[in-house]
Amino acid sequence: MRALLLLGCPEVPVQTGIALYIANKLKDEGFEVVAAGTPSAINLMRVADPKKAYIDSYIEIERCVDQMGEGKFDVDVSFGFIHKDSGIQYLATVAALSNGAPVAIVFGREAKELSNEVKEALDNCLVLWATAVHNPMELKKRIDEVARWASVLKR
Amino acid sequence: MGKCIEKMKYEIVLKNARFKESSDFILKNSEVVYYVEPGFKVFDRRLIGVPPIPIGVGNDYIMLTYVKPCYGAFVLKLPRDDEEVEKIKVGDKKYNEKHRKTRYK
Repeated sequence: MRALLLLGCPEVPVQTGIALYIANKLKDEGFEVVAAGTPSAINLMRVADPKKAYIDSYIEIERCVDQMGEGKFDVDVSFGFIHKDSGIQYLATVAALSNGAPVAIVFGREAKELSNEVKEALDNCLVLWATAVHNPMELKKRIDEVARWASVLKR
Repeated sequence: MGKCIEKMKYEIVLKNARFKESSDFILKNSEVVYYVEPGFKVFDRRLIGVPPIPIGVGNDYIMLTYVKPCYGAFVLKLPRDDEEVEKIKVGDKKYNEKHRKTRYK
């Protein structure tokens, strides 16, 4: 099983910590974890995970979309990290190109509004949200409510 | 491989917008609007966005949305390329056969 962490702009502090937290749970379930993002978002993850304990490989976000469009790369589940409109647009694109299940992790100051927009835009997408900017604990609580990520694969 | 957009003479006609705003801009400012699926390739770029994704076409331009993760949606006005327009028409036909809805111009 392979999972994709589709990182957004890293300007909101909770993103990197929550992404690594989810990656840890995915690794425990036997997933191969791939992280896609801007060079800055990827470098934050690389610095935090130098021994690749959580992330198996990285790919630049546009290359990721292109490879999916070419049919050269796919995953079983894609986690979109969303704290602004562009995050919704990227997850919708990956959801359209991939056979895997989309999951939206929504945070930041506009999390409630953005989570509603995700629900309108994407069918069969699990949406987990919290108005978290600096403190990840509320969002962690939402994530912990999902006992196993493998359970979202065939939604 | 398609032509590289970054090397083309393009104009940024809207920047740092939400995707809905960029779509509305294309609808209001294009002679003809075609709709394609997310990931549809125009020149060397795959289009990002919640479907339907509009592409504006005129006598001398192709207008499309380019989404950047940190900076939002940009509308680019590119020089028209007839070969590319034909591909867009095929993409539009496929989109409409699949969805048969949401043509709002």
